[in-house]
Amino acid sequence: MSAPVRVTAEWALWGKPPDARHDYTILECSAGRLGRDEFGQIITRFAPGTPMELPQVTASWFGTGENAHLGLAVQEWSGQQDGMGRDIAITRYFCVPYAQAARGPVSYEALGAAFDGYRLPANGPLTVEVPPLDPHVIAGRVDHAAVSAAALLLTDAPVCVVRGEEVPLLERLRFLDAVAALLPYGLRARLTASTWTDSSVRHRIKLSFAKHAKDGAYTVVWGAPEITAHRHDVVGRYLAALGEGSYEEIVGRLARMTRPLSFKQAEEIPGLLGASAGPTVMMSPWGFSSEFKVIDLLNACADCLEDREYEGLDGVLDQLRRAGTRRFTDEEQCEHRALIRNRGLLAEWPGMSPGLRRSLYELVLAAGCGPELTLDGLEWIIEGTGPPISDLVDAMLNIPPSTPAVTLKLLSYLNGERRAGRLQALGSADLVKAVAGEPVDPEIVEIAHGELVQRGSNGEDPEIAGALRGHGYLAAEVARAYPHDGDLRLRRLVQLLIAAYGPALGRKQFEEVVACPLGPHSAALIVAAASLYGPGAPSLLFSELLGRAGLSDATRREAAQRVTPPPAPPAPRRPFADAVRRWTGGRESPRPERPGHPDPPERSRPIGPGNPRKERMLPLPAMVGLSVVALVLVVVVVRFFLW
Amino acid sequence: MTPAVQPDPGQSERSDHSIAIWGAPGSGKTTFLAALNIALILKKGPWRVIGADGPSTDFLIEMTTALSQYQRFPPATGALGHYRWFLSRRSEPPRRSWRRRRKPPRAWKIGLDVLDAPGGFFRAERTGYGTDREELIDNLAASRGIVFLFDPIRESKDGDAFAYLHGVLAELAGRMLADDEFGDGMLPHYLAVCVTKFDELRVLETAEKLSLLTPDPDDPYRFPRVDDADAEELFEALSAVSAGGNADMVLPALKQFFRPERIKFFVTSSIGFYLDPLRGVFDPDDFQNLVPEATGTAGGAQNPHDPHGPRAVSGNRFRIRGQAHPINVMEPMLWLGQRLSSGDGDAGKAGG
Ligand SMILES: Nc1nc2c(ncn2[C@@H]2O[C@H](COP(=O)(O)OP(=O)(O)OP(=O)(O)O)[C@@H](O)[C@H]2O)c(=O)[nH]1
Ligand SMILES: [Mg+2]
Repeated sequence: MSAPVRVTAEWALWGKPPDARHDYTILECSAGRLGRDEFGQIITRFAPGTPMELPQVTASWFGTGENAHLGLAVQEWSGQQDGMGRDIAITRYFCVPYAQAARGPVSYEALGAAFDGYRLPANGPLTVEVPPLDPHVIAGRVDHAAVSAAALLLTDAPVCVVRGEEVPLLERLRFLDAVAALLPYGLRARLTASTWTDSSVRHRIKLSFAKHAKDGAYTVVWGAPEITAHRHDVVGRYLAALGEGSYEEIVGRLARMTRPLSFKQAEEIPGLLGASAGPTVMMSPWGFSSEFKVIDLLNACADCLEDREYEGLDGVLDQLRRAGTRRFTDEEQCEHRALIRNRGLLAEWPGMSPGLRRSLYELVLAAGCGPELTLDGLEWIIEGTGPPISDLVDAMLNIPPSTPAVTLKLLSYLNGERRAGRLQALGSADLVKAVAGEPVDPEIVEIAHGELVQRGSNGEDPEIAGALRGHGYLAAEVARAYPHDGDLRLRRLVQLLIAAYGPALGRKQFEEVVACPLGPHSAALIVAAASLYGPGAPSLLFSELLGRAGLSDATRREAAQRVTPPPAPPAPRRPFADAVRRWTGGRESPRPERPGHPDPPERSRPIGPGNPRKERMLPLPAMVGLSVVALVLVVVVVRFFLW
Repeated sequence: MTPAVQPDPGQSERSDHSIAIWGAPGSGKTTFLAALNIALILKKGPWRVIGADGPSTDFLIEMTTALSQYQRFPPATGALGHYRWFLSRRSEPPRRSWRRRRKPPRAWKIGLDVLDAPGGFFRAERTGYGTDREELIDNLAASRGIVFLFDPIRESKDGDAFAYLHGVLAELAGRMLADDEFGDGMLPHYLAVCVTKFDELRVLETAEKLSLLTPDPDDPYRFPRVDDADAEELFEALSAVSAGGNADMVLPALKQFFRPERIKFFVTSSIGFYLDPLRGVFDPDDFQNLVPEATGTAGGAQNPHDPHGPRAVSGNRFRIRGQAHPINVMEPMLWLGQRLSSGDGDAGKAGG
């Protein structure tokens, strides 16, 4: 490849002064863009563990998009002791913009060698010349272990190389370079690799030498005589792709693939290697924000979240915001949703500031759902997150809903006061509309019903009657919502009618209700209306039916006569009224008189579902006695079996 | 091709008997863990410590070697370490019994998941280091046992034990007590409060002045010790002479958040007293086991297995003069292990 590239490094020195009695800290750093805190964060995040044998080298990264960097930490003994007499390890850390490194592209070894001549602290950032990596040289170092490690890294699990403790440092560093060179260069924007890690530490190093593999990591044996096979699909495909051609040619091709990649995109990588005859997407020059697709930015978000790198996340969210909200194609939407779900972008993320979390939710939701929240979108979200936390609900409430049902469904995740406040903002017509139609969601029915009943009891809301009439008094929806409990269905309809018309129906109102087109669910509605109208209901209903049957006057009269009962003594009790009292939750039974009565029954009491108390079957002393006997028996039996 | 070794599922197997070691930098956290194996071996009792995975076994082997063979201390901790061990009890021969079936022996294996952080992680005003503090709080919230190390030597010089306590304690309480999961508003942990470095002259003297030293009739070496019942008194006396003057807030702060019946005090030393091999008993005139390392001495400096590795020799290091005789290192761990495995309290509610 071509001439050396210039890279400018910011640097930091991590250690402690001799005789210090406190912990490791940043001793000095370049006065560039990064400050002590940033350096401290980066170095601790990629700490390989408590040093035992030094020197060691750790390659890492930070930042995304325009801010992506490669880092190199070289750890050595300082030859001095801290205040407790323990040897001090000093870390020299250098970082260079990824875009500069990718221009070579340069290897870790070359970067390390370029900085090796500089003692820290230096004066400000360092600019050095680094030769680009030479595929010929690197290919000569590829062995079975390197090939295995490269392919296994695509599973996104860490890989530990064991039995390499005695191998000299430089050789281990070259091995790391060889593995990295067997992957697209762009992966270095997310690759962490170290010549040594301590597996009892939950470090974030993807590829490292270690005495034992850490939890969840693959093991590759140093100098392994064979390539490690694996059932994982992506590993098999990649091994096959690496087998097609000479390593030199493959390393050369991979080195040109400098667009930053995440390990989460590993699925694509075997394909990229196979199909890279012509100029591919991967060979495009380093892309800045305009070139980032929403999917890339979502991936970058997920990376930041995984590492809890909340500052970086802020930057990525900014880019996402600039990308704007629009309606995505179905294909894009599917892709976004898969990523959002798989990488848990809508999870709770404890420890994040509320403001940042709100932005995250808002922008991720926009990518997954577009500019409008549909029931389908909502269902998809809940499927992934389970019952959403209130911040997520708030973010969803901020997206315009496609139907009132969406809002109501969202409100079902809020509790008490917050729900009540939001509900008030909805008109009664919207409440009815939220329930009406398919699909019927019992939770929505309950909430809307409760609110309508509440409004009805608080005074006349003229909108309710009209809205209910327009949707068949929700008889069909109530039937769907409570399929197994006829009494409950009736109670709900009675309550709705009371909310619409008051505690008793007048003749006109009764006719209005029963005049609704008859359907399979009309029975309950008619019974409800009748119960509120009173004893005259059957005959009124019958005459209503007669009116609708399209009969001649004579036939109608005859039919009416046939159903008129012979005069009989009045019924001593009003079982029907008692039943109504049960349905309405113990309210006064409606009066038998016609509506318009000067003294209507009280209607301010909210009507709840009847809650019949279970009768105790036996008197208390008897129950206690029986329980004691049973307990003694159980104890005796248990003892017997144990002995 | 050889089959790949599957990634170890790890997490799922983790025991919920997680114990965290809490203390300022250099208070002796890592040395305390390093001495556990030696403590159990020297006790000649039924308990042993066994690594549950490779890295945890490595730690036991390396540390036991460093302390006993090279008489060296572990390096300053650089990252949050997790060790998975078992305390396992040798079973005793079964006694004959008239009963038809005897009760099976009690659980002989206590799983321990031990956390060792660099002391700096506990500093109250630790800022700018991003995620490590959060990880620490996560882990503390998931643990149910804490060994809190109070280093009286550090306290007399730096007086900062409280500074390494209150910030993390407040964060932990904020995390765990905000929702009412633990009804009484107290943290669910068992807390072993350990006064460390009992082998140091000044600590020993303080104990003697308070007449807290008792002989242990079972101890062939006649090492002085402080009864657990008196440990709190020694703790209070030592915290009264803190350099910063606020060590007397340590105990009240702990008692604010941990249930009193779940706190137990110990007076400990990871290296114990020096024992002249010829005399074979404790010598009140020559008991110091921590000594400065003579410049250029062999020790482990030239040995490739020395944890410090071969490198420049300097005169500021300390080494252990003779054999380490850990005092009260096994006891707090066993106490916590048994509390947690007995399953009372919220021990099972790991995960906070
Ligand atoms: N006298 C005496 N000194 C001890 C004892 N244990 C540790 N020390 C000294 O304290 C120093 C620090 O011990 P460590 O175990 O490394 O302390 P730490 O709490 O793990 O420190 P960090 O890892 O920095 O947080 C050791 O190097 C010894 O010099 C002990 O039992 N007695
Ligand atoms: Mg330590």
